[in-house]
Amino acid sequence: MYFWKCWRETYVSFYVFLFIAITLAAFLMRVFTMSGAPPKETFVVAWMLLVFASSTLLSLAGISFGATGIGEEFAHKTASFLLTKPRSIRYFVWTAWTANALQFLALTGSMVLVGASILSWRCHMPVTGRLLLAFAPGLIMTFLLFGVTYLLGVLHKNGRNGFLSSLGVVIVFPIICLTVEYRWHIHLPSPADMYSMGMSDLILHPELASNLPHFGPLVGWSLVALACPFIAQLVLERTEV
Amino acid sequence: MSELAIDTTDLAKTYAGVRAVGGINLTVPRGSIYGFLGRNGAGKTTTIKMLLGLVRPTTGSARVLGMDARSERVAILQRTAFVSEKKTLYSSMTPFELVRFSRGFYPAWSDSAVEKYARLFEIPMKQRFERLSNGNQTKVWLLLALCQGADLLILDEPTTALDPITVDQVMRVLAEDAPERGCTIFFSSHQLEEVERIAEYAGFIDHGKLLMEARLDDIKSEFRLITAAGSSLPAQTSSQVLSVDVEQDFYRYFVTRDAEGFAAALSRNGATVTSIANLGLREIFLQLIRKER
Repeated sequence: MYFWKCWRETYVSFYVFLFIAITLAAFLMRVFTMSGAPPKETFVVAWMLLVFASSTLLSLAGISFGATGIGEEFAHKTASFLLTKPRSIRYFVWTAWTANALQFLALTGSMVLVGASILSWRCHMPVTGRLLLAFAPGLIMTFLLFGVTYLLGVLHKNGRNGFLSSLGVVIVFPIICLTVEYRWHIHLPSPADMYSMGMSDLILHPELASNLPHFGPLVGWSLVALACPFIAQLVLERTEV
Repeated sequence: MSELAIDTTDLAKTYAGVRAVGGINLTVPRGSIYGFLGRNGAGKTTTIKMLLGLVRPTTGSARVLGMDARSERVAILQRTAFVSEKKTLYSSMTPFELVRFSRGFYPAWSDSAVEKYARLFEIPMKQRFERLSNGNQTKVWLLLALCQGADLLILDEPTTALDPITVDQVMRVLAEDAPERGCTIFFSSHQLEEVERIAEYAGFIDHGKLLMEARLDDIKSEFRLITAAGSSLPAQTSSQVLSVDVEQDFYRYFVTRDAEGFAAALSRNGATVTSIANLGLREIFLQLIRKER
């Protein structure tokens, strides 16, 4: 039914992302483990590189999958067909969310699996739960971008416009945060707060790699990520076709 | 259980101060075929959308199959099939895939009906929807609606883009198959011949106002066209005389109620009544619209 339709709309992109995810993970791990550095340091840096690469890739997936939501039904004039099916708006919104969430988890899982397998094999070190938690910010960022794009698609009644607006948010929001911080020394909450360190910190201090992501921002942005589809549902329940 | 499939009370919709539907009271008996007639922009589609919960009424209420259209939308949609005015569907899906998509939503879905109507309408089930002709796209909508096993079919301009042969097939299906199951059909159209052919009830809507609603036979027996010759005959409209056409000494009166009495009165005024004719639905519709304007 609708789950199948959601999958049908994204499976080509999903397979492309999956191919990129596996190839990227395998390539990065292979290249890093070929260096002459001590296995422990190699392991940590390679792992964190995998975390950042997966964050970037999944964010792209989140933004592009978010554009395929109900907003597109309005743009293609199929909303009256879909919304006269005997299901609540909540069903449509959260089924789409679930279908996409499973794909994001599969993408993350595949990168972790490939990366962890190569690293364990080359460095002879186990991947701990603590290290796996490093993927949480990237995953939440993906859900956040998916939710924002989905919501903007609903508000525009057009998935493509939602996608473009979401790209705008991704570009403008960090600039606003940095400007406010630089000029007025006020720290605005940003999804970047979820990460315990940046890429540059990692290169200078690889021992920090096993630090846990920041719990507060992680929970806060998770709630924002969940609020987006919920707001989209409320908007749709008040939208006329 | 309510005897009415659709029952609206002062149902109205206003968009930014413009009245699209102005307080209509529809009563569609269960098991009937009801033709909802009106010109383009008369308010037919908005009314239908309010019945299906796609548009919220500004005032008034609607009950569909005994349920409130606002609060029991999902329950209504479970038993109601709909063909939209805009016959757009997922362009990359084939009719076969659209059937697969729709099937799971309806417990009373019939796969044998899919086979039957796909064959009858000669729908290429494995061709992408976007590649189908306009006529075939309309047929896919009808197929999806007819296979749901619905208690109520709401069809908004169901024969758009269909060739005369297919219109004939569709009309036959609507007239024969659906009532056999006790299904109510509510269809909007401005093709008066279609309505006249299959409908038992008709409602005329214009500028968002329901001009008339009755059994089709009653509507037809209600109105007469009286042609009379004479000089200085009355040329004013009244509650009985809905319109008058005057051409030299010939008068054509569009009369409701007691046409014979009115003709007798004309004769007493020295007129020669040449005919008292029954009217077809087209003439009645045109005269009613004219009167309103």
